[in-house]
Amino acid sequence: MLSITSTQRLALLARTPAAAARLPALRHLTTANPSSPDSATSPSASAPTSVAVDVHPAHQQEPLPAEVLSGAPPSLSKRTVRIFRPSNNPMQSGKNANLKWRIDFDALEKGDRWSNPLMGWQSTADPMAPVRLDFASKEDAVHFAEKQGWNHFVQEPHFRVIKPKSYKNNFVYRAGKIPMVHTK
Amino acid sequence: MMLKAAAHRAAMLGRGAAHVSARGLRSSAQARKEIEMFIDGKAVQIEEGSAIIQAAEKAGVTIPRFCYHERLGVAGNCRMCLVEIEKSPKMAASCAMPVGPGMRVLTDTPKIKQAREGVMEFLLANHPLDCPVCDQGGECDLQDQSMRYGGDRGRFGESKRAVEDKDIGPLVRTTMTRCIHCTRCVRFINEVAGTGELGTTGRGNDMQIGTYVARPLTSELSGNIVDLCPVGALTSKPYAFSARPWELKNTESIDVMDALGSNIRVDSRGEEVLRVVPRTNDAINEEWISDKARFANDGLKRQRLTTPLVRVGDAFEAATWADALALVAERLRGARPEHVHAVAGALADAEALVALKDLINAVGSENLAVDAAGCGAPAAGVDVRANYTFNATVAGVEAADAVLLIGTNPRHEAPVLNARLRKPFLAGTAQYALVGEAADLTYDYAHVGTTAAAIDALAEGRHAFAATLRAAKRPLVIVGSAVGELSNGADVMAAVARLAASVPALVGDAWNGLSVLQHAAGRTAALDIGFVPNARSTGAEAAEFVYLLGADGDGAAQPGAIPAGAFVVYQGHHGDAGAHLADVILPGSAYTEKTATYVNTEGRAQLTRRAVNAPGAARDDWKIVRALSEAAGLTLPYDDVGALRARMADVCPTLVHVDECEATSAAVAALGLTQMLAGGRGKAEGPLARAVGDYYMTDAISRASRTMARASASAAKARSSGLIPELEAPAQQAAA
Repeated sequence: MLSITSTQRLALLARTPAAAARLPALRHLTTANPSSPDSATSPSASAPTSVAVDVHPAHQQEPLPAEVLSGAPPSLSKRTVRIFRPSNNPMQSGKNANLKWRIDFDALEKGDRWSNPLMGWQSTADPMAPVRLDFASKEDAVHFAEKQGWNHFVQEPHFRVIKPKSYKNNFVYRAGKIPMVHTK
Repeated sequence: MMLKAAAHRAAMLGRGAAHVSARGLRSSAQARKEIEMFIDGKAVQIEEGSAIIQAAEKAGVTIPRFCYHERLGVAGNCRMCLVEIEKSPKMAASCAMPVGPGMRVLTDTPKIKQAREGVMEFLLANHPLDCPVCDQGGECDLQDQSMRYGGDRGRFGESKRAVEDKDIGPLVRTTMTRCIHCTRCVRFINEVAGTGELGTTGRGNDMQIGTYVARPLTSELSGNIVDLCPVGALTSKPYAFSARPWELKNTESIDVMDALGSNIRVDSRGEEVLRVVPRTNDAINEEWISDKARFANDGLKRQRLTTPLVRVGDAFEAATWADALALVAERLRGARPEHVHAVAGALADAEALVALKDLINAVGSENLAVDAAGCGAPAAGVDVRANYTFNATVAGVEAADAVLLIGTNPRHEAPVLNARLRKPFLAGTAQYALVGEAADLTYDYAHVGTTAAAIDALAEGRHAFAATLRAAKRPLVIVGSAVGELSNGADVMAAVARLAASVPALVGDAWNGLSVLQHAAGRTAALDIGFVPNARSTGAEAAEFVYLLGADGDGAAQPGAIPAGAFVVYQGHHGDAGAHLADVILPGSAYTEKTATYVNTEGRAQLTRRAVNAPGAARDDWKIVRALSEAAGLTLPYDDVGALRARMADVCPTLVHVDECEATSAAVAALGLTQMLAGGRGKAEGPLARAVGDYYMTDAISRASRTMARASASAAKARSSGLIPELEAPAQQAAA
């Protein structure tokens, strides 16, 4: 970051309006998400008022594009990320896997992965392929993606609906034909 | 265009939200009294009658368990979930103990710790120490819980019990010595799958899980017992010894093997998809997926089209993209516009469909069709969306109290939906009837008749079930997609409209029970986009140029339907039936290799996500069409997927409202019924075809899959040996 020359910095700053204009490219994909701010309007105006109270003060401002200072290659800000809560492993009863919000990058169309024909080692040309960023809330994740200038798609999580279950249902009497034979 | 799309979205969102709340009211169970109780001092409000373990889940307290599962009946036999209740002398199994008002439960006391260690020690006494060679290793509840809750030493010095492995078919591998007798698999097969093949024999140390008589499982949902098994007793046979969970890249995506759009997680290593597992979505698949969704992934490695191919004489020769596209563009411009045709296949995604429709329209042709039998469009038309979507919604079927199936076998067309249809049967809240070929549906039904004439018998009240349907508060009529594709489909759909008119509660604002069950994942999107012939279309007899977008000859792309002189382009991912008809093959991507929109049978748009790259020179489907448009000098006005989705929002806003299911209003649905009624020309009669013949082989991917071939052969063998009962209706009733 410190090695950036003043010419490069000027070039980056000159690119900033373009980067900002590029931001909403995929925004309209966001699912039922009124709280993801559109860069055209102020974020707090488009967010629901109840949420706006909880939003960190820094998040209520227009994010500063990180590429101004970070030295990240321009190609990075063209990438699309997905913001989601990772699903629980269906094989296990643990529930903590989906407590966090995650950002990861959409795979590139070509050169994402290949394997070494002799040993089967996996390689990738994409430095962002193994990147996983975890956040405590959706707003944090969205803000981070905005700051980095990444197109983002928010995938809303689905949760189990808790319906009352009872042991006694195994023995409830029902008139007529029994619908199921218990072979346990 | 962006602003317009955004404003439109806001308008649509508002409507969607209102609709969602209406739907929530409709399908929720009757609310019971909420009580307050305390788990480890945390207050939690929960419905009366719930189990303590559910209250703990709500409070965010983890209770270890093996036998308890949220979607199965309570067994209470593993004893791992023991908790202490204040003022109660003994510990209680929290899965089997109902909550009480003011109850104070402790889950973290020295007594509980000791009890859990005791349970773990007993379970491990007879569990083999073969974790290094067990496929469950790394995602095993027994492994994790013995680390977290078990003791640090065992006292068992005797020899361990050993049980012979069972052969239960080509999908599920058994190592019965590892079984801890939680009976989740037995309960799943009994309650959800409904085939009742698994059971237990013996007691105590001699207890065994098995099929009594050696036989394969015949359920289309059998793969779910692999997920349910908390240990490594039941594992996936095709995936055996392939990978460890920590090597896999997880990609959350959508299944396309049926039109339900089940939520899945695609697990890949490098360039290979190794397995598919379900994700929880209570609105669609709960947490089950069908065997085809789970096991057909090996078809993604076979019969793939990896490079553009051009037919030279009787053989295909590899070509570069530039040459292939130039050739296709030349033939496209050379053909007379009114004789250019395009056919959308079963697995086509919405992006590619919109791009292809734009291209064909730019050429000056209106000859668009879906790859369905008959005329290439459903008989009920596509003007009203309610005429081709599953209006009751997948979750809504649980609330139905009278179900009529017309020309469909949901067990094969959408096995996960069939498991939901079974729920009201188990609860005793619904009655069922079927018009069409008899099938073993896992619930009892009245067989009204095999021909379409039975629909009119019901409409005119000449069958006992007509009274049930009319008296129902939430009647559900499921019409198979094959019905609208019959040669006399319009007549049959008119009879369905007459039936709908005779059932007062069927179509309304709060409940629309008249539902069409599609069987192809790409079909609803194709109909939304308008991939159907219109007044300006010409017949396929004189076609000069035919573009098959993954169309594999199920209907409009049948070999006989395309004239010999036509130039045929096939764009798709597998060298299946459609590719053999082609003059030029353009390799596209399968659903695991692209981020694309699919609309499920309810009309819910969902996005897949690229897990691996397409092989060789294959490309994203919409990009191929876009490149072709440029080669043909008809450049389509979108350069990236964002611009294409803005165009999709213009064509059909629901395509970009991801995860939303928008209902048609009752007034518009009634208009659709009028249209259906007006389409009829004669009496509805003749047999009703089914959309799916062999469940395991329905599309290019499953036909290329070795696992599906084995499963198909196993099912055929079971049928010929009498293990699968003959398809007779359980309660046969002739139309009066």
